[in-house]
Amino acid sequence: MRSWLLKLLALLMVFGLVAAACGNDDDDGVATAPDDSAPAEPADDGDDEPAPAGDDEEPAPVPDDDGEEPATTPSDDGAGEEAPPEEEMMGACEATVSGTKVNYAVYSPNANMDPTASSGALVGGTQLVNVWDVMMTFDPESGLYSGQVAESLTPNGDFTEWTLKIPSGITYGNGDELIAQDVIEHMLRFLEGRGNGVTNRSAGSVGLVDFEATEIPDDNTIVFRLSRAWSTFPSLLSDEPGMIVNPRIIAQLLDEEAANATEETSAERLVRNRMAVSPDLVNAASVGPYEVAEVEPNVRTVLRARDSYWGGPVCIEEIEFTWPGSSKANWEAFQAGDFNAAFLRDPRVFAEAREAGTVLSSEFQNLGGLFLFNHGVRGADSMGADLRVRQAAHYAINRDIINERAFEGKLNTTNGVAAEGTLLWSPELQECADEEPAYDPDAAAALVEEVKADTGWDGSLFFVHADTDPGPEIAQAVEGMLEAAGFDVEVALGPVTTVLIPRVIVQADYEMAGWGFNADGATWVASLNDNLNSASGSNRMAFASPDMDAALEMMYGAATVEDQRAALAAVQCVWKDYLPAMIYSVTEEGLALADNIKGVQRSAATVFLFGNASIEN
Amino acid sequence: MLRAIGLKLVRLVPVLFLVSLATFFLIDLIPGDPAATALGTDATIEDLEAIRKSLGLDKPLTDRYVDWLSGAVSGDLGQSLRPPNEPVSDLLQRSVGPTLRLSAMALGMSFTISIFLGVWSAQAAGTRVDRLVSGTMFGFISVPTFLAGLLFIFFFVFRESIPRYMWVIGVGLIVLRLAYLAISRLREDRADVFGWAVYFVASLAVAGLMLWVFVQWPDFPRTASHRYDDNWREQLRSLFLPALALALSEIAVFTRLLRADMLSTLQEQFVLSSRAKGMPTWRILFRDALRPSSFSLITVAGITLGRLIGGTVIIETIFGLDGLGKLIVGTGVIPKDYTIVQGGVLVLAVGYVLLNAIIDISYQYLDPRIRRGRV
Repeated sequence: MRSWLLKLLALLMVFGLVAAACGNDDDDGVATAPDDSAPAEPADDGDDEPAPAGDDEEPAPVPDDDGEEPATTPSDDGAGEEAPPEEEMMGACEATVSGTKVNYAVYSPNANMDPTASSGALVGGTQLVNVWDVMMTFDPESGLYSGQVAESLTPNGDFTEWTLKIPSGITYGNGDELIAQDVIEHMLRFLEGRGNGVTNRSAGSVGLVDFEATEIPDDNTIVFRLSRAWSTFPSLLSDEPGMIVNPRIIAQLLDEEAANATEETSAERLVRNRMAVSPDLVNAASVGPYEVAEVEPNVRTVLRARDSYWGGPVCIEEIEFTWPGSSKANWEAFQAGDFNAAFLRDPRVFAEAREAGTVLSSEFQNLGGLFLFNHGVRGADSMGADLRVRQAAHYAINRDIINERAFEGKLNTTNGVAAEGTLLWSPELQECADEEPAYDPDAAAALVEEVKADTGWDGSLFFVHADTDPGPEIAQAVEGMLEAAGFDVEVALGPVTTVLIPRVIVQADYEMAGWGFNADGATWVASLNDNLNSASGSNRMAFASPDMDAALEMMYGAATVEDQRAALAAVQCVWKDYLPAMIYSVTEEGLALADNIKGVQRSAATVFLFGNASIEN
Repeated sequence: MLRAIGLKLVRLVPVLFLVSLATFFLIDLIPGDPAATALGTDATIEDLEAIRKSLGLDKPLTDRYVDWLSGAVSGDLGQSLRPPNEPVSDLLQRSVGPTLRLSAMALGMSFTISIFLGVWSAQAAGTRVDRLVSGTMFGFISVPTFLAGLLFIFFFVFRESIPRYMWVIGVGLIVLRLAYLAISRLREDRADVFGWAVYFVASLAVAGLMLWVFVQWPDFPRTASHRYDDNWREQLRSLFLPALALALSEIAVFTRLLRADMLSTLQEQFVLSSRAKGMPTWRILFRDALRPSSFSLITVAGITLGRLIGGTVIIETIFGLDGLGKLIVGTGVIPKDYTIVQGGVLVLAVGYVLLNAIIDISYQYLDPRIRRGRV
């Protein structure tokens, strides 16, 4: 009897396990197929290639012959799938819908709500833009800028002068009116605060504004005068310099902190620190659709809809930004239903998300994956300064092997400064890119031997790479390929903050390093110039070439998308001659969204505006 | 007792001094520059020099330690080196709550399960049940915490039907066993209504519980990064998996420990005397034998709690919980933010000493001989 019962129970258990394993997992919270009206993934076919990023024929911001044409006019159709329909933009609700909430998994936690003290798009950009609002927005599909807070931004004929119009009646949380002078004072904080807590990458670009010559004819108008022609100047105002902090509150805080300031810690730094932990201060000084309800720097931020938003009712009541820990964790938590919006930045995760039919709003960052060479930073004795070594590395490294070994074949590999399918790619650019040394281990070995014979170099190369997934696999693959060509590679793997940044920026102690310039449709000019211009303080490689400087200059004056493509192609043609770094991939980044969230607007540097978003039942 | 507590606090001072000294100098050996972590990738060399000066990182190591120590002695643990340079005490205060909740839940689960299993295993020593429990416990000890966390995520979050049906099968076996006992008793002596009815009712109750849990099975979240400060149910739900992952090896240790002590206690004269008096088994086990058997358990539990408070970094990272472990390692050790590490270690050291003091005091309640000064 007993043994019969035991057998029956064992059989039942086996049946149960089989049933459980084959059970329907519909309730796993996996998002369903994309909705037509929601922000959609750029790649229509879901393959691994970079997706088309807009209408090629669309003009870039451009003045007409007399220079009076507003550059901010949105295109008729240029918004593509990403832009919310007109009716959504006009407001999807009559009042904030109680109980609606977006749980947003961020790429990295944010330390500070002060735009000058945030470190850019991946860290806090979306939190900031929803609290401060922004002067301009960027449509990544068309490459066009539109006024958000601004009424218009109009260039003169040669793009050295831009006239910004802001509407009357927009008030900060404390009731002060937003006026033109505030914009200037806010931008000056980026310049004046360097070394005092300004960590935002736009500080260098703000320096292109000639503030002495800039005029403020009235409270609603600024005439920016620039130190050089800059056709994509609106990009600056679509980033943190366009997220205006009430300068009167800043002035008041500076007065309060003057007494606490020391030689080591300035009042400016103390003010930034206060802004990081004081929701009330942020709310009083901002005009955006959301207010900060709770904040824990580097951990979480909770935003609540602002009752008196100048743009009309904000539908979604609350947005909570937290950090599950990685792109993979973001995706898993999104699948599990913990989050209804999750920032992703890993090609393997994107592939999974596409396979699951998730609504994605993403874009490609050109120059997202590359290997820097040290060309002799601060007089460093680096073999990266020898063109033949750089050529040998190009010959030795096979991008497809990196892709297979580290990214399961999901990476969008490229050898160009713009990847095929992105807005500024052109056949001319690709032609130059394809003239770069391609994978050829024999040619690599021959070059390495030649350099060894000429210079007495022993083949050693110090390679620094971040240890974040899949950094070790990339480093291992690269090390193997370089050693096969005769290099003697020493690899230093470690956290970005304690190994990569100190080695590359502080000590310049590297010969080759894993890095990314991250140039999207809005930030590409500044990104390329900052990293490649021989006079730039952010040129990590000490790469200096008058040819490159001239090509970079062309970018600033390029008026139309066609001109911009030509300028970028010129950069690529110089790049192939000098090989300042080795490009291996374009990086996709963006948001996985629950399919009931509508009207989320993507802007410059992959930030997302929720002011016009809503959640359907 | 106050004198004893006072003595322990006095002993704490040199411990803290040595711990802080060792930590400070050890963390300096880690490669990297905390100033670089404060700036990000777009900083210039000038920015870096400025921030190093403002953070006092240009001073010699000993000066920095003396600065930190003089602040700590006066109750100021300093500020984080990374912007926005928050007071370390604020950071610790924020992080200690989630970790304490997680640790307490893990410890509570460990206690609840291990007391039941340890007592049962000791009572049924040498039987199939005992061997099953022992084997399972060895299995639990063998599973590293991080692996347990990942497995729980896979099964409880993404394949939730598997643990759900496993629950039904596992508890179903107990129900069947109880029902079998009820039927056996009924066949043996139909007139002994209490004898078989107890098992019958018990089997019904367990079956009811099984079905209730099956129906109410919660959707476990992948992460514990959301805060539910006002909602204890949601807190329990979000902390259940990380707590279970942490509890797994503790359950095994506690069960083995308690089983061994119980086996020894069950041989004591007073237990035999209770048996001779005809006391019910449950009373002998839980009222007479458990208390004297729990010394080792409580000692180890105290150490475990201290370890859990500072050592949950892996589980906190896997589940995205912003607790003390993640703060000390992720925000302190990795970016070399020594003020956070120093503050965190200080809190842990104080916690350890206080916990051990509480354990010492609890012995007096557990054993009257200690209370009366005879041991």
